[in-house]
Amino acid sequence: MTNTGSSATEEKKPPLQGLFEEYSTQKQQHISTKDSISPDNQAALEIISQCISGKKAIEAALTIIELRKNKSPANNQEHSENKDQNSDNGNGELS
Amino acid sequence: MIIKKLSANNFLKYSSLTLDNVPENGIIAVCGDNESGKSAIGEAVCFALFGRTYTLTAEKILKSINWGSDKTTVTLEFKANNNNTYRINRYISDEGYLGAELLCTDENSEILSGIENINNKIIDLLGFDFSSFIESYYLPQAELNLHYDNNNAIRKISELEKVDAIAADIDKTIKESNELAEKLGENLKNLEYKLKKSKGFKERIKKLSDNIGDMERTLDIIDKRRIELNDAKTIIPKNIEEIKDYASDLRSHIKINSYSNWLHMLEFLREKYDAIDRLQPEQNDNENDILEEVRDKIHDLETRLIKFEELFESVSDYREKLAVMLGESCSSAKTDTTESPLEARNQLKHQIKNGRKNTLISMLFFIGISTGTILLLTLASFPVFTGFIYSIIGTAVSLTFLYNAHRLRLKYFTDKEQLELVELRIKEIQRRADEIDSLIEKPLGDAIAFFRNFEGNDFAEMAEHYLNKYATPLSDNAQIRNYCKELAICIRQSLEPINNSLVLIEKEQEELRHKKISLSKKRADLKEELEQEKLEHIEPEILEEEINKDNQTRNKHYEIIRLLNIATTEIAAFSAHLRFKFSKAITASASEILPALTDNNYQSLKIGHNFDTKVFSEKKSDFMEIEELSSGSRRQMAIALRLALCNALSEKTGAEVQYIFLDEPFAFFDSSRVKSTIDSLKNNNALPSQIFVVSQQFEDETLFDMIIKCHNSDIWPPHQSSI
Repeated sequence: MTNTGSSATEEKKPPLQGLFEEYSTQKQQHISTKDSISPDNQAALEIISQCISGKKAIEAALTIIELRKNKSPANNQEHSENKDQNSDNGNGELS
Repeated sequence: MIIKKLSANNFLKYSSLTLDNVPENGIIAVCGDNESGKSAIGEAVCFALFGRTYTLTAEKILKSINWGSDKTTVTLEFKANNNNTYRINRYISDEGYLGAELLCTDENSEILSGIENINNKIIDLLGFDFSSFIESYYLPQAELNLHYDNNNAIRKISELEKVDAIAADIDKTIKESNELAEKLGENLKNLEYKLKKSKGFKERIKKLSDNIGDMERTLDIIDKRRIELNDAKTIIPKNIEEIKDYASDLRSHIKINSYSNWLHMLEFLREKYDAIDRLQPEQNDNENDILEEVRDKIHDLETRLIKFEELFESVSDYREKLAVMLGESCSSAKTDTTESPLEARNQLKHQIKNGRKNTLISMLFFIGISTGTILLLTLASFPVFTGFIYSIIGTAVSLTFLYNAHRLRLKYFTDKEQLELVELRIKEIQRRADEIDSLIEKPLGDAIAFFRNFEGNDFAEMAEHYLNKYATPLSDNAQIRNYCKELAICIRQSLEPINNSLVLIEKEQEELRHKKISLSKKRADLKEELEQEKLEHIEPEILEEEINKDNQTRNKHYEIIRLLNIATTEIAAFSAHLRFKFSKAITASASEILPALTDNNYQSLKIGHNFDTKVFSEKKSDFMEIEELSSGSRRQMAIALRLALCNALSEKTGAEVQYIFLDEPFAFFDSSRVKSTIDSLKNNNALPSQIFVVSQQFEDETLFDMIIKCHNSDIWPPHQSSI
């Protein structure tokens, strides 16, 4: 396709993205006065955000699930254990 | 978007139209009489951008070609939101050929062609499509619709369309994931069933193999039985005939006069009945009773004959002794062969033979010696004394031989007498042996009489005991005849059920045939099942791995469903938030121009989440439903809302300056309200900057930055003036 000049929308992020970010921030601010937003709600918001960016819901959900899996306590623990092992002070004791 | 230049050929009522030097910022009046082509200017812009007009859809766009022409062309030069100027040229022939070209005049770019490409590019450049355009930047002459709730353009402008699309996608994904999870669940059930089957595979195979083995054995038994039954069909009738004959013989007492005959009969009957028993199908109770009676009789006879045989056995020792005596057998260790008269006879015969020979020798010696002595005395001339001595000796010797011959002769006669006695004894022994031997062939009554009358042994006593206990009714020939008669009757009676058994054989054969067919089919089914089992068998480890994998996938789907359900709630909340925000923005924007449009009769609007509109009346100091307003006031509300939507869309697309075409917006306005509205439009920076306003006439032309006056001419411009 022949280029006939750049468009403003190509450079700017979609308006809906901005609206959603605003909504998310407001929601976060609203909730943070009482309690922190739950991880599941956070994940749901991230899914919606990705959908707004153009991803399909299934792709977005899978991406988020994968991310959460990587950040899960088990993985973190494993990561932490590795870190602990790495921090062995050489006297056979874990520092 | 700002219109810079517009030209058209053969479009609607215009054979030629050119608009140039259109102010980018200002209010452009388009006035003229009815049918003078005022609205066609707005329609030409619409056609250039989207390939259709407000009134003519893409299917009817051929009608836009000026009457009598074969092609219409519209060229529009506009400034896009990115501040670049573009020129779009769109045309259509009366044969339906559509074409378009797009060129950015500010950059040295190539011409873009292709309807689809250009349409997409226009949407990209403007930030809105046809539906959004006609709901915001184009106010048609027709009555406006204020119910915006399901209006697609409004949904697009407010971004609710995208949100709804996302919500629909999420909803669809939830449904699909649910379906997949359900399918996986079913698959898992299936796999778990397979796993259970797989774990019991060996046992099942063994059980199936055992069952097949059992069936094969049963089938072998059936085959054997069928062969037996086939044989039975020939053997049983033959046996029946033979038994009949035998029964006839029994009645006539032909074959039962001796022990051997009885034995033979017993053996014959047992053999025949056993064969029948083995071959014939199961009889009913009554028939069984008859056969049982025969069998009892055979058994009874057998018992009696066994006892009778004992008598024969007791005689057999004696017979053995006689045999030894007769030199027939020397097998018995108990028998003393020295008692045998044959020895004595042989000895006597030998003695007689030797005695005869010795007597002859003695006589020969007597004659020889006598003759020798005489010759010697006669011929030799011995002295007398010597001769006397010789004669005495010769006589003595010859007499000795003579005496010996005499003695031997006496002994010979004695031996002869003894031999005769021995011969008599042997004959007696032979007679006894023959008598015993013939017992077996004698009529049973005679045999019993023999034992009874046997002398010199215990046989008589044994025979008496036997007769008392077992011999009846075999003790004499008369009793035997009666017994035979009874037995013959019993046998005859037994033949009837046996005869009937032939029918049963046919029946059993038929049953066995069916049973074999059924079993063969079952066996084939089992074999097929076995083969299928082997074919379908999957190792439990593979299935467990598959189950694990499916479980993980299903759990993933559950997680997707769970998160997307939360996302559904969130997107609903976001949608409500957008509606609220959008209605708030529209309310604010519309309220700003509303007083000018309504000559301060109405101060502000209130737009609900569903875009239900109420208007605040200063006079009533309350909000009123749109339906309560006059049609003129309702149009004023519509214009206010339309301008508010323009703002919203401009804000969304980021357009700093914007074109709008208002076709007859002031139809119900008085001149003062037109003025105040125009003032308000001019002074409100938030409103579109290039505003085309269509009216039949404007009383105060100084209000406008440009005036386009349309006449009933098909060529424009007949007159164009800028202020």
